[in-house]
Amino acid sequence: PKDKGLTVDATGLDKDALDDMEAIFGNGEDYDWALELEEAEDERNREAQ
Amino acid sequence: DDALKNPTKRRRKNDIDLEAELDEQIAALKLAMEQACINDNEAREKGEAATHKLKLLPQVTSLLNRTAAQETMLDPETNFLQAVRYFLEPLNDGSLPAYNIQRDIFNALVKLPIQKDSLLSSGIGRVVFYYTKSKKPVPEIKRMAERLVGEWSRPVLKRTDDYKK
Repeated sequence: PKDKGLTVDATGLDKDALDDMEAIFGNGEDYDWALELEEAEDERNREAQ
Repeated sequence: DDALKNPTKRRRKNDIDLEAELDEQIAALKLAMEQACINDNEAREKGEAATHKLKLLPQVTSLLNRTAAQETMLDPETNFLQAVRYFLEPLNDGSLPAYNIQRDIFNALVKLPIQKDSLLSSGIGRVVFYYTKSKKPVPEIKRMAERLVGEWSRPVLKRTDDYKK
């Protein structure tokens, strides 16, 4: 399973707060490409072992 | 009376000059930082070492730690934090910038009073959030990233809390 790291508990947040959180921290898409590269690298390392 | 007023006026003029100088200095450094990020990515693609950001790092760190420059730096219009964001971004091959870059910048960021408007204009929260998700940063860096995400989300979450009461 993918390590999600820190997650923000969104339960009970109103829409404005959710919008603000997304505006400040992004929707997770900004650096997904880098996280995917990392995942692929981990996979290769696991296979090499 | 005039004798008392004039020195004040002179001092003010000097302040304005200094401020303009600082603005220029920050703008020039911002441009140099953006160029360094481009150059580092190009170097990596050619299989060379990425050293451009590292060379600029002492200047960046000294500005970030300069209390007198804080207001200008954090002004969303100056948007210096945007260049700081670029410095922290993973390179095109997914590798993180040098450890010294991460350490010095995160150490400076945790000391800065960064408000919502600078977060929105710079997008620095996005790259800091990435550091909390990636497995690459060392624990010391991850802790600082998590602390920043906590600090920056607190006013947003607190507002929701206040509404409910």
